[in-house]
Amino acid sequence: MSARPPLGSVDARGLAVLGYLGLYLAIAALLSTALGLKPLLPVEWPTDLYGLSLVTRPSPLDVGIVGSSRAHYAFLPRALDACLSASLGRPTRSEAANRVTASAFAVAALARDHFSGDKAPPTLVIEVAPDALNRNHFELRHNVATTAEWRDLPACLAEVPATRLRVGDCLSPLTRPVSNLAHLLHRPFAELDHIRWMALVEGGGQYCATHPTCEARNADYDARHAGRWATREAAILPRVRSERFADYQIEGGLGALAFTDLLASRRAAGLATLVINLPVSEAYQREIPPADYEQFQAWIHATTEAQGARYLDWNRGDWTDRQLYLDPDHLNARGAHKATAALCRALTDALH
Amino acid sequence: MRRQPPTLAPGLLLVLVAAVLALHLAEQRRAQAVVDQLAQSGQSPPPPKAVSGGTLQAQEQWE
Repeated sequence: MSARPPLGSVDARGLAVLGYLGLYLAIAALLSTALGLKPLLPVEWPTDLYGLSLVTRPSPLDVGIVGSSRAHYAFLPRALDACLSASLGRPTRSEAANRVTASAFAVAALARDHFSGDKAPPTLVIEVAPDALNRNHFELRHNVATTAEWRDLPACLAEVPATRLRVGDCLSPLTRPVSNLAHLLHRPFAELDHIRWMALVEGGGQYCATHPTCEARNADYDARHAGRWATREAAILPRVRSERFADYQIEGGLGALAFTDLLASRRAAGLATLVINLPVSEAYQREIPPADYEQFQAWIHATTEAQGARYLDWNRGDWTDRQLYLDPDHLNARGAHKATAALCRALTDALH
Repeated sequence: MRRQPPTLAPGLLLVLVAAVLALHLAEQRRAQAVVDQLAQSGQSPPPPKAVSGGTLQAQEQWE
């Protein structure tokens, strides 16, 4: 009979188990990366449908749209196609890929994931907002943890001392593939049929346009959100200054860097880029510090001009009607149809 | 005595890889079927049932 090893001693079999665990995690991470799995976010959106990147489309993409929840509510890709097709005399295809609480860093990652390389559309529409470009974006840690890649590591680490980022957030490409795989195996989507239809039939976006029942469905959605304005007026507006515009600075941030790189890469490829500042209600605009808004306008004008992109500022007088908004900073179905029609007019010349 | 590696783990790995590939192919088939049907018929399918109250609550909290 052999003697038991003393407690605390290192056993070769224990090391072998740890070694196997490490090996299997590495294999799982490689598998997850090879399959292109994405993280599950708190709100289920068509952008995160795993099958979205797996399909072969019958026609090339004409317009890609990326942005935050404001773009998700503002644009109806199929209504845009109907309008563009009528204007141009040929069928067009538009797709949107937006992400909740997306900083400019996350928006650039969306463009990289969905609309780059052989999937790059001739025209990319980027929704941008002053808070999205804040170097200290209120959801920067979550944005980085869910979208950063290894190539972002040096810039990310350099931002750790100056922002709320932590080193672990920058190292998320190491751990995220395994958690993405866990999401897939768990079948996490509670509304899978809904987001599959939104992504593959409607082209992304909150509101629908392809079916005779869409008008009633969109109205029903807005009616079910009838209390949203009051809820967010009480819960979000008092925190806008202290949370979304805290230590407001654009230059040098991860968002500004990623945004500028995105514009530069599209310009180098000879592709058109349209940057849009979507409207917010007067109630929301009042909470934005005027000096920060001026900084944003100066930066976005200079950057888009330097990178050969076109900038459209829609946050102006003809969008003040309260009836266009679902809540203080998101459009409702009526506002979305107005924004989509305006985008169609802006794109018609570009696509001719 | 010659040390044996854990015997259960390689089998679990194979099961994991097979399960992931099966899910991958199934999702690809489902998504492609939607796109193909749309391209052939030119008619959009009716939307599925509206999202649940729980989903709406999550949207209000996060968006």
